[in-house]
Amino acid sequence: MKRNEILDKLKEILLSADAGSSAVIDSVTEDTHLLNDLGLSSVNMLYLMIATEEVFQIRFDDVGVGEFPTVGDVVSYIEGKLS
Amino acid sequence: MKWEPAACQPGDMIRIRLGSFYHYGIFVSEDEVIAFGLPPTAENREKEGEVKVLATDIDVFACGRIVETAVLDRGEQKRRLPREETVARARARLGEGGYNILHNNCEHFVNACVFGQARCEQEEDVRRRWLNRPVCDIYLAVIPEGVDDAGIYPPRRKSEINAIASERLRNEARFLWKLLAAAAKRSFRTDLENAELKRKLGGKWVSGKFFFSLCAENGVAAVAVSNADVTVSLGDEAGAGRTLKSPRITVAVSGKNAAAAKYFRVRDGAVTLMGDANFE
Repeated sequence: MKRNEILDKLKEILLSADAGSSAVIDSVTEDTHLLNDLGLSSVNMLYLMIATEEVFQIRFDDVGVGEFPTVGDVVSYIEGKLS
Repeated sequence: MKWEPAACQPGDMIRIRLGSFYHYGIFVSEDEVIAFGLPPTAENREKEGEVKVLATDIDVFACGRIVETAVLDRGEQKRRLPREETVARARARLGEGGYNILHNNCEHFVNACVFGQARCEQEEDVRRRWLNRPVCDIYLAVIPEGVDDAGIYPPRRKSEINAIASERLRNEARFLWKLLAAAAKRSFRTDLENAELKRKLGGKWVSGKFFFSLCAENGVAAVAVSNADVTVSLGDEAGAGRTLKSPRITVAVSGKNAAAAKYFRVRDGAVTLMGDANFE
């Protein structure tokens, strides 16, 4: 799966997590900071991780929430898991 | 299980609230509470290195919050391990690492000590929220010329489509069913072969796995898939909806989950999530 496809699916998850309005789709890039830019709460971070596990059929078995400052960091983690 | 700020006994499961989450531990005495990590306050996060199972006194565990004790119902009391075994299990894990926010956290730890089974209701609640979320995905595409009938499922629908006299309508129908297959796969991870498709008496095709609606207008195809009843319409007659900039056409969605609608452009097999910038 290409990085832009992973990013698109993450945007869908962020929409479901109610991380801002649908404008999130237009504004979120790999450089977007999950806490500073999107203001994700700890519950929403957990939601992001669980939804990511379900969508990509992967398991966050070796990382904590704080290890993903940006959307691009999550994309890289998923890319690594899928490869 | 209820949680009350009650007096604790050795082997009790206790917790404190920190923002949206809880931190759990096993009470042994006022001087010994065993938990997987310190309460995750900002201060503790800075000073704590690797998160490990550790023993603290009740004040360090509480860090100024109200301590709640698990009051087990009758079934849970039968299922729980003897208190001394709970304490022994907690003590046996002192110094253990391998913390994971989703799969091996402080709630997994206390449940393993009290019930012999590691589970986390907080994680299960969020996972349920995801699995039960409203889904209403709208796939839009320009209908190409000369669509063949390869792969159209079920065979009965394929025959119906191939019997359509108008070449334009036959082409539209073939494309819509191929787009439906792609939508089902992407949104519900379901092949049409497994979608429990059947034709109702009125002639409408339905799936036992998801709801769907198909529409074609002015060379544009729209497929809506949802976990609730849904209808998608295109064009000026569609009523109140959003107008796509390119190709310019109005898309109207109705149904229980319409407010959660997400729009996707499908082009040459590639699917792109569309944001507000794609609409007038």
